[in-house]
Amino acid sequence: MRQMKETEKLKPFPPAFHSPGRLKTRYEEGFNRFRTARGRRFMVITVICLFGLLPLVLNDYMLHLFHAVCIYAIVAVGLTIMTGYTGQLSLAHGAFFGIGAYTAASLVTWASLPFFLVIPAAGTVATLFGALFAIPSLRLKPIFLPMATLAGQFIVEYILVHRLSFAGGSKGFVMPKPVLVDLGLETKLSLFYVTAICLLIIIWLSDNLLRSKTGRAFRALRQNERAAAAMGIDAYRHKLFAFAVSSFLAGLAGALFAYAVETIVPTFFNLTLSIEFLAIMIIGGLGSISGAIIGSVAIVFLKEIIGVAGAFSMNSNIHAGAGPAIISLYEFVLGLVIVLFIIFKPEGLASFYRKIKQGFNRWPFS
Amino acid sequence: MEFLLQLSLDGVSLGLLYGISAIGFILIYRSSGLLNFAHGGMIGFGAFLFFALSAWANWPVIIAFAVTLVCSFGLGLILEKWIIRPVFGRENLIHYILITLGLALMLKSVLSFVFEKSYHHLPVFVPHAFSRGWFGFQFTSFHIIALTAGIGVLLLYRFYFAFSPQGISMRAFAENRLTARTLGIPVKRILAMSWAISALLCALTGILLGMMNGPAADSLSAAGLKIFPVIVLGGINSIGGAVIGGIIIGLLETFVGPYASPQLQNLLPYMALVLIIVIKPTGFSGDRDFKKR
Amino acid sequence: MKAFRGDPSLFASSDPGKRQAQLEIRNLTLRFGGITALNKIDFSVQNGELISLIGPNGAGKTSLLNCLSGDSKPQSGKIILNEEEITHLPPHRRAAAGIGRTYQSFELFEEMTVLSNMMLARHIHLKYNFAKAFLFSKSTKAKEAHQIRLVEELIDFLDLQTVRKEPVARLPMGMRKRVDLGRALSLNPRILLLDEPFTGMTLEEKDEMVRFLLELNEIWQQTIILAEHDMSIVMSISKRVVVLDFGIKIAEGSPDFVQKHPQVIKAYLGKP
Repeated sequence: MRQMKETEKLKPFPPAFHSPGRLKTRYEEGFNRFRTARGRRFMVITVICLFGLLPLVLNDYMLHLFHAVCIYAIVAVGLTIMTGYTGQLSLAHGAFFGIGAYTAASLVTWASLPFFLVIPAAGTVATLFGALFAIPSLRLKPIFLPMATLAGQFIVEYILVHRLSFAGGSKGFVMPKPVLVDLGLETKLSLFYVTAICLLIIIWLSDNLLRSKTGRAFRALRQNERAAAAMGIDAYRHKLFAFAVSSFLAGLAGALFAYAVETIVPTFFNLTLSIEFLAIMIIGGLGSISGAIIGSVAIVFLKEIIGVAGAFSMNSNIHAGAGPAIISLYEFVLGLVIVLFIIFKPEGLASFYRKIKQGFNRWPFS
Repeated sequence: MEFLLQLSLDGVSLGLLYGISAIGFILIYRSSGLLNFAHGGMIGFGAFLFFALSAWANWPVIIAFAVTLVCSFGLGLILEKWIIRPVFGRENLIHYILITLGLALMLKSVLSFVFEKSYHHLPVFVPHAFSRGWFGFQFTSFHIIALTAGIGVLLLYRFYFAFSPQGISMRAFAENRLTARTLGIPVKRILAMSWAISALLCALTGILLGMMNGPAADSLSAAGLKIFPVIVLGGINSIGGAVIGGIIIGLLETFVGPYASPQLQNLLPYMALVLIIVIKPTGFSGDRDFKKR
Repeated sequence: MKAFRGDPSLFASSDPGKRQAQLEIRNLTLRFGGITALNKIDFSVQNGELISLIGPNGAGKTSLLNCLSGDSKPQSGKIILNEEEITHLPPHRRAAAGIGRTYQSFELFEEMTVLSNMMLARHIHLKYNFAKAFLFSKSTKAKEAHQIRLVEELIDFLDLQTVRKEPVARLPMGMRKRVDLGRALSLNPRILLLDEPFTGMTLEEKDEMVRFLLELNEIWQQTIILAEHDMSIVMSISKRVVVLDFGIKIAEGSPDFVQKHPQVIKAYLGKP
């Protein structure tokens, strides 16, 4: 038998295979997002390619879709915090989105505020409106919030359509060209970059929030409110905080939307939009940020395939490019998708993503 | 004065209709614990089926009415079997609410696709000759139908749940699911029955509301959502409270309605809902433990 | 003597004043509609005591614990902890006041791991605000890691190492009771309320649990109120026993005294 050389015996696995057997030696390592430096590098490169380089080669149409995905994803991340983690359901996020859009448009038109003031202002106004409906109902049983926000959705919709005649009423609100920091790029493209950066920052902040003690408290509240109270967690305060964050993000996304489409039509912000946001969560998978993003991609492409999108390509009106038949078709498909996902795949598309990630981690042993 | 009396008659009739559909809603809530956002879709289904049978197929009104009720009953059974039963037992409020929202979207879109958004006319099956004035009230055929239907349904409901074995086991099931199950009460049948009866009541409401205003997919699904102020006012769990709540909402709509634009009129119940949640979330006859857990 | 694997000096704050507990219940009355669940209950608990609540089913043991933990609101009477009245504090403020409890029916966070369950109980001890949570900087990480370190001591003590990362839903009954105890202990409470911790356990599991309770009480000086059915355990480990029947305190005293008390015998055996 051939004698094995000492070096051959001790030869380690090639570095690529190290990840599966890596062990944590300090508690702080448990907080790392990526198990290995390789995973982190891979993610950074993907993000740079996706947001940095891809838009430069895409045509206008695809860029619009990308832009829409980013805006939807911001709302969906907010809903993940509130619905996925804390277990509160809101049917008024379409309206909050609209409030954000209208606030942004009016601030730009009449006060000509700069972009970086308009965005948080829009979020704040949406949060205040949300608080009107959330504060009384969050102290009650969980079924009261959907009801109160349903009322909120209709009330806000009424105000936008009938009481804002100075802002264009039902015909829509035309926004002046945005004043952005000049990036030396075409406006649309620079706007896209601003939106994408907003999204990335929001994802980073939300992910931090969700792995902190607050995120843990959110999950506890969803699972067992009584026990959470016994652990010293103030249910009302945490629920209100989750609601405030998610309505702030909806308003912020609405402002970005207003910048993106330039003409906002009040009928766009209807109950169907609210349900659409919730559908994102169901398609992507409740309770994970990756799910929120996957769901936004899915919903935008679904809209595009059916042909109602009009929203982002031309004027913001959902009815603009599409006849009533197509809207009916879209609503039907949306309803069907929600029902089918809840029945057959309640964990959503994010489960596939998780499986793939696991495969990478365990490669070559999977 | 006469005008006010007439308005209150209108309000009470409308409110009784809300009350009927609220009974259907509460039936589902008590048996399976889910808020049925597809209530409006079920109301619209009944109204439009009746319209299609009587106006398009030219069937006699009575037959069309009976067939509509039977079909709605079937719709309730199908929805329960295919859509609700798979998620029942997950005890996940978000799934419960979202699945009925999805259902609502599907029903509404189908209706507005087939019948479009314009208003239609429904045949009235009590001839106008019946209309007359009593005690200063002007009873039109609509009032007669609404009042008889409302009171009839309430009585039937009362007898059904007080005396029929099925009704008694449904009550037991609503009281305590686990105990009811160990006593051999067939859970599946109870759930199916509650959905079927609810769909039937919805169809009845839909037909009557359609007779009043002419059916339109949008307004009928909005009528379904008006259920929420009604049941919260009544205390969510209680039938009697829901009927009273329905009458109050009906009166509110008819009294304030003439002074407001039609859009605002549709909004009134929701404003009332917010007010009720702020002031007295337990409603009239709701039990106290509804306030928190 | 080091009787436990975990190191309580790390976990329990070095300041003994933080575990000091002096509970007084005065004239406590609780009614549900027409039923009087507790009728003018009076007793006090000294620091470092292990006191047991016994009584037939429906005697009001759990109701009393619910009043202490804030789940039920008594109509009259006072609960005083360390000379501070806590009768009207909402449940979530009681944890900070120093009351930790376990439940008879499981109230664990089923989808979370054992470690997360116990980390949740450290919520009130983790002092950083929402802004810090958003940034999750190095200092926040250090704070979290420190708390994990402390919780690991308890996990060690309760022999839960093998299931640290297991979701609670997958654990057997006896193990869950232990997780529940661990979660209550993670609160670092002044008073530990145990609601029938021995139900549904095998003999070996009961044995382990008794050992934990005794170690807690004798070495950690943990004040414990134990509501329990199992007489042999109660009589052997507690120093003082309070007997309830139909919401009324019928006897209080040492185990021997209580066992011979005529009213207690009547309550349990139904004979005069």
